[in-house]
Amino acid sequence: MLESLLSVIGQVFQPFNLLIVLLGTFVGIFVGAMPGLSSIMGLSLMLPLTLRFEGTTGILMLLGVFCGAIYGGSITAILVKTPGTANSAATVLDGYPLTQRGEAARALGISTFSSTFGGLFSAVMLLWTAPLLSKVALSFTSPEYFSLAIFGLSMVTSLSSKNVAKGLISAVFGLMLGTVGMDALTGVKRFTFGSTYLLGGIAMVPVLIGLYAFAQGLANVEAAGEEHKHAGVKLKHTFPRLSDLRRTLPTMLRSSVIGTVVGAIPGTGGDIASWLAYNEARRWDKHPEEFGTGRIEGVAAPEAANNAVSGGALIPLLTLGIPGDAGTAVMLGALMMQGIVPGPLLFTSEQQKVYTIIVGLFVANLCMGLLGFCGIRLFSKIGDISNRYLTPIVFVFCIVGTFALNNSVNDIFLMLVIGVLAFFLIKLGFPMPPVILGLILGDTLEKNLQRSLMVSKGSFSIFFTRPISLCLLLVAFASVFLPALLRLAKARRKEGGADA
Amino acid sequence: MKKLIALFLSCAVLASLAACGSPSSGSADGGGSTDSGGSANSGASSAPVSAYPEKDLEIIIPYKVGGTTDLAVRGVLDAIPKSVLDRQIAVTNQVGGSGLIGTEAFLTHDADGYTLGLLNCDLVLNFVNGTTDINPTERMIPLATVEQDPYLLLAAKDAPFSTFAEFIAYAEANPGQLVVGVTGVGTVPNMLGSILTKAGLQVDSVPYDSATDAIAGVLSGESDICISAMAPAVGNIESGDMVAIAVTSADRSIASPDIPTMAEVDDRFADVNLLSWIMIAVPAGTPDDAVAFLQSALSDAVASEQYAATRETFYFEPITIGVDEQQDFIAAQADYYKSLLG
Amino acid sequence: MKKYDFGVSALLIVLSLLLIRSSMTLGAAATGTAMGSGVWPAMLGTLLIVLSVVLAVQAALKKGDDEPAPIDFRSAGMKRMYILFGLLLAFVAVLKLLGFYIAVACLIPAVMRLLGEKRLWMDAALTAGMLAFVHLVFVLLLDLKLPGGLLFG
Repeated sequence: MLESLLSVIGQVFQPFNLLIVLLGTFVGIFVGAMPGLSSIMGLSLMLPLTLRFEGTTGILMLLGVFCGAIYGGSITAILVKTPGTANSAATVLDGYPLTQRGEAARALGISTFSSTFGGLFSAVMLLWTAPLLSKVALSFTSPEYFSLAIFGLSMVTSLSSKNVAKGLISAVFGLMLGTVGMDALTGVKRFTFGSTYLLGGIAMVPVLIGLYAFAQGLANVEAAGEEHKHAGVKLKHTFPRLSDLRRTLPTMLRSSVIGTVVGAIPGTGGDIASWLAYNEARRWDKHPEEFGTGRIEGVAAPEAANNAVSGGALIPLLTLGIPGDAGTAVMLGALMMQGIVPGPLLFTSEQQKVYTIIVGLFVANLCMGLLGFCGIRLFSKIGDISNRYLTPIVFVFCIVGTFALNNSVNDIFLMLVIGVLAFFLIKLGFPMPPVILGLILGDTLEKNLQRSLMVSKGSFSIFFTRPISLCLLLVAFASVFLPALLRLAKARRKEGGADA
Repeated sequence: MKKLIALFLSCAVLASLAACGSPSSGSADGGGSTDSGGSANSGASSAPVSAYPEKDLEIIIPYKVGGTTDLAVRGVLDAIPKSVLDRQIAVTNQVGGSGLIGTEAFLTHDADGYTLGLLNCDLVLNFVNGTTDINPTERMIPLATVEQDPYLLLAAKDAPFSTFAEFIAYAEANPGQLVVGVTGVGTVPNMLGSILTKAGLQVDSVPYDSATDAIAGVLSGESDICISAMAPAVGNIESGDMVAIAVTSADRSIASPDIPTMAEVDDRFADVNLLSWIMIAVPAGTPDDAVAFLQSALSDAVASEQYAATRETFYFEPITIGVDEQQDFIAAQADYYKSLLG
Repeated sequence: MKKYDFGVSALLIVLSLLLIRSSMTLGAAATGTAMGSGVWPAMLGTLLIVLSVVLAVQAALKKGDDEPAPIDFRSAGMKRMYILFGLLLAFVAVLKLLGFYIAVACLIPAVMRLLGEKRLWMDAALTAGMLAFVHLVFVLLLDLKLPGGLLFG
């Protein structure tokens, strides 16, 4: 094993191959940073080009795009509150406040470091634990997906600490957006008002752009007169300070594990992983109330997790032939065009190719880190641009990015409507992250509820008799009610103390 | 101000870098149309007959970039030699609503031969089941078939049955016990449920989001068999983790002739002919010269060795539907869907 | 804030009742082993009613109204918003009619004016720069066909 690994390393580290990975990563970061452009678009853009290279070079390029795109989303999320992809929606929560405090470069440094860390971690996991994690992947059936989604939703209570009722209403709004369109299980058209556009359901990206970027642009216009100057902290190093790294290391490790495991489960990707990691970072922190105000852990957690998904998502693809997320679904086609048939045989009989992919993933993540750190100085300038210019630029990117997603003018209109709606909802104190969470999880939640009940012939016991499902439900239940119970118990104890 | 200039410079650098980086990527597969403004709309007024491709063409693929449909169609377009068509065919993907969004967008274009679209099994099914008003046989002229495949019925290796006959026997002995993984309503594999129910088997058919999800369902033990095309399943078939117990076509598969058809095994499935197929089409009313030109260019490309190589990487079968047989084939499939739904 | 919370919860209750009613037509009951398509939306509607009631009760229990009104409809900022909403409507119309480039070429300087930019050359420079960038990246590089509008479509 070591011998073939070494020969693969020698092959991948040829100058031309390294250059190609670097190029792929660059393209990936670019499409990731642009709202509306996705890793899927970047991958398919590069696909014809990869076919011209011999052997593994093409795969290396695709791996670069794949990793770069996940990271790229964080740049605009931190700087202009515009997550390039749903993967980086959670990064906004603490990343943008850091920018507002004039610490954009610090946030970017942490996000670059933790992205690279998560990616490298998952590449190692792919090498060592793929067979194990593929078993985990196969233990996920409809009831487990349902319970995982419930667990994901349970974090709404902690995401909306100001007013839980409003947070929950936001989440229900997101879930309701998810019901629009044709119900694939029964073929019934729901809330489509006879329009073919709505038949396909409400797409994630226009809503994401509307809720965050466009709504923020609108808020900028409202606040136009009172433009606040950024604190203008000068940063000597783009590489994170040692103290920051030490502080975030446990968070990065935990998030990388979450990202790899969630990635390995087919059908769940970086969007869910980043929220779960953010919530866990908050839960294990000594000062959870500070999250959302610009904590570096709040940047490190989602970024480490969504990049760790890259290696995780390759696990079911390479061991079972089942893509772990949307990006790896394109990789499946790309690998087949290279003559590689992903499946159980690949991992056992064609180790050379598997090692190439793993080493390639490793190198792609290093390139990503390199490009990221080189670019931070440049990127962080964006945060310094006056809103007067930034706002129209953001508007145009919102519009063109939304259109680019699916060549659809209707998507632009949807984005505008959602943006205006969000502007007022934010004013009324409704948090937006739960909406995104609801939209991400709504489809998973309903379809797997339907499927589970079909399999169990209508019996709800299926959710409680399967160990993983039961565990997830218990943790979800505990995370909603435990904080309140603990507070109650504390109060009791105090009372008791006073009596005695 | 200085900062703004810096921003612009950096944007320009970024863009030019990207431009050097991937110059051939877009145009390599017949994209690369630099004409930005006008979609094919220059009036269908009588153009001189011989001059047909006077400008670049566009094809709207109603499925996502990088999926098998997309890759197959792009493979065919790539296989058209420059000597035949010296124009670009720009590919636009418009996804959503089981392909109906892109198909509607395609049909809003003029029937002048410059905008192409797809006509596939799911579209016919969605017309037959009433989801859409688009009648493919009336609204479109098929040009060439780029893919035609049977579906496979797949069981896990440790299932209590390893042939289709054993599956039937098992399902009859254990009514209501078996779970069959299909894909959503409005996709052809979903019809497997009706086929099995019509034959009197009591099974639960559970729709998954995609064929790979249905395969995962069988591997994880949630469902007992599933239906899928060859490509998503081939890795698990070759490794022996899944067994293909039957094909859903009337005739055996050309690529894997040792798998029996459902019809051979049991008379109750005598009329089963569930196929996956994709045709490239133009809107009805397209001038004859354009149709003739495209039909010959595309069917040559489909028959070319270059496309054969693409086809084989995706485990697609050779194309046997001739240009003139397409209309009859569509009608027959529509009738078959009607018989299943009725 | 109190007033607004009451208003919102009343509006939401009406909306959820509408939602539940239309869910009923979608197959609220289970057919065979499958859950009807209306069940899930009806569940969400019910949940929304409960939450709206909670919101209203919360607001009612709050003593006094110390929080200021969340939206000041007469502030200078909101006046800018009304203009912006008008601009966006105009943008949609121009986009439909004359296509992407012209619509964006109108939107950018208009928004800049709204934000207090007075230099004409600055408007022109940013507009030209953005259009060039979009054309370069999205049209030339990514093969995107930007909407041409009815006139130039």
